[in-house]
Amino acid sequence: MELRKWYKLDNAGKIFPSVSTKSRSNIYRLSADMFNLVDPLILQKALELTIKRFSAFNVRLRKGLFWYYLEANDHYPRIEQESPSMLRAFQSYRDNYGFLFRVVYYEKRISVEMFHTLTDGTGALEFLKSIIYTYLSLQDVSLPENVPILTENIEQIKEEEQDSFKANFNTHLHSARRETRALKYKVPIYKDNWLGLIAGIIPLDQLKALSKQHNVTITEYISALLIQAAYQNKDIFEDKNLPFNLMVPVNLRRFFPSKSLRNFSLFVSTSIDLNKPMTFEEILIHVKHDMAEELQRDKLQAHLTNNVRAEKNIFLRIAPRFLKEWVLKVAYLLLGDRIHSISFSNLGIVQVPNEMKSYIERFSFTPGGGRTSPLNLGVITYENVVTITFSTALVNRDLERDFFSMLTKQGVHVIIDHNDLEV
Amino acid sequence: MRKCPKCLVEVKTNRKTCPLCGQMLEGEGSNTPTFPPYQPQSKQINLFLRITFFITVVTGIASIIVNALTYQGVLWAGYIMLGLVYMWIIIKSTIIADRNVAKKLFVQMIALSILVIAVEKLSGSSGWALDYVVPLICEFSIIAIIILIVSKKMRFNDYLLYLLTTILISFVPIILYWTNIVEVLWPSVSSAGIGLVTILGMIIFADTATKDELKKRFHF
Repeated sequence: MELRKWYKLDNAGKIFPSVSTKSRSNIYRLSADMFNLVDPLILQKALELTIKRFSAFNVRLRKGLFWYYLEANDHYPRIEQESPSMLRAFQSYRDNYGFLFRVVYYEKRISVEMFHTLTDGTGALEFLKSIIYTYLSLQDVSLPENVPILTENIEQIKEEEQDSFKANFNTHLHSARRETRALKYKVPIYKDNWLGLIAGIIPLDQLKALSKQHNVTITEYISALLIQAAYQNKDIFEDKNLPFNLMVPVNLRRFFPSKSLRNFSLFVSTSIDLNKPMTFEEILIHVKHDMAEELQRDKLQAHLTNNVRAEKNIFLRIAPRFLKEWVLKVAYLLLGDRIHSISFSNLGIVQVPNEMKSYIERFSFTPGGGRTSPLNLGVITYENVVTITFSTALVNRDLERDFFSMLTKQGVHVIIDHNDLEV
Repeated sequence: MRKCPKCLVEVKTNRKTCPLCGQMLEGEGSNTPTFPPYQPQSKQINLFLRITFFITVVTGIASIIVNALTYQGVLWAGYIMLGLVYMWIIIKSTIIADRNVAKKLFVQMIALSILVIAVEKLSGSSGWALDYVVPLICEFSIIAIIILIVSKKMRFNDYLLYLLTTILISFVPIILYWTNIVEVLWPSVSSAGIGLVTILGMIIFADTATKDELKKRFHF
């Protein structure tokens, strides 16, 4: 009998199987809009070829006595046509032939919907790029072989499957970070766990010029715009004396040497009291200060160490899985959903070989969400196109309106793309 | 592309109003939707199951009422209730669930054991459920899983956890004998014996796959 390869869940991935529900799927989407209609047959072939290269994704979730784990999947993954309700949860972990991601297509779009247990945005982006590379090569597009894309030609290395949280654990560090409860929304949410998608397609040069004007990064500038939009829409929030917490996931590969294709990111946050008025300039200074404060290697490492330490807690480890699930559910409520008002994740610039550029129009990144964290923002840049995608469970769209209006009022050219919102 | 005069954004849409502010859009729009249109999710209600459930509840209540009104010293409604609950365990875990066979066997083993113990208690008799029936059920379960493993060699490892738990439970009767709850020795001994033999067999015949499976299932 052949041995099936297996993996422990990584430090961040451990929580998701226990806390994901129909109304909070913890699935996010990375899409590429092509210039031509997608050919499903070739895409299926491309997926079957690509998955072999990504062993860490070619798995299904299994239950152990103490932890869930990932085990090599005997099936092959199937592509699907995009469902109207995006990012819906898996019916069970046996659904979808056990795979924890979906590759979906619609018209000219190829998307990967990824369950967060497998990897973060960076890992999923590598996967999507590799699928597109294979898809194009199967269509007889001549592509160079030496490309910064993980293809069959590039050998899989052990580090790609590493739990980089554990690798960068440092016993001597202790994080003093305190999580505070954040302001939530009082407006109604869509029924049927529907998520609305509102994307703004924006030229990079214009956005860059604006941020440069204020001497901040694009991430900081968008954060400030979000906070400003929240200020203008105080009425959609609860009437509680809580801070507006903006959570920003950070790709830790920027700070620590890691080639991992699995989760390796952490949230940092900036917090604002919406009852204390601030000018846009003051917001920018505040955001810039918080980011500089949080984005220090030592601080991140201390926080990461705290998370690994929690996982290594002997009482948690020896508790049977069903008991653990309760603990993790409570922990996720208190330290996960309750502490953020909105999350904003910037995946940065997508690099693809020049030969592929005439086939791909743009990339977009749609974060997940749900009842307990209804509004999230994902940003990704490709060539001169920044796609800013709100995924929202809220029926109300005032915050998005003000966010994009602030850009158009400064002369930025914004194209809005959206899914069927009249539910 | 249409344009919103208020938000100043262009909108990829075939709708007439701005998705952000609800203003009427200006200009001509493209008619190709960029996302699949909303479809109301069909609620999956299994009518047959609902009717069965309804009949179950009505039967249960009716038998309690009739039993109470014509009471002659026998609580026969209790047997009916037990039967109904067991029927639902069969429907839910054995017929509907598409879980692996070993899990179905395991659920049956537990449910049947509880059923016979309950019947024994209800009938006021003693000395048969834990003494004879439960050990026999354990033996059958172990043998059934072994047959499954031998006949479908490929999926051996999927059954391992249930086999181990079943073996663990097969030792319960002899512990109960030791604590004087069970009075007859031989069924308990044979149940524990089969469990022990199976464990020995597993240790002796265990291949790397089995050891690997144990490592996976019990890593902490």
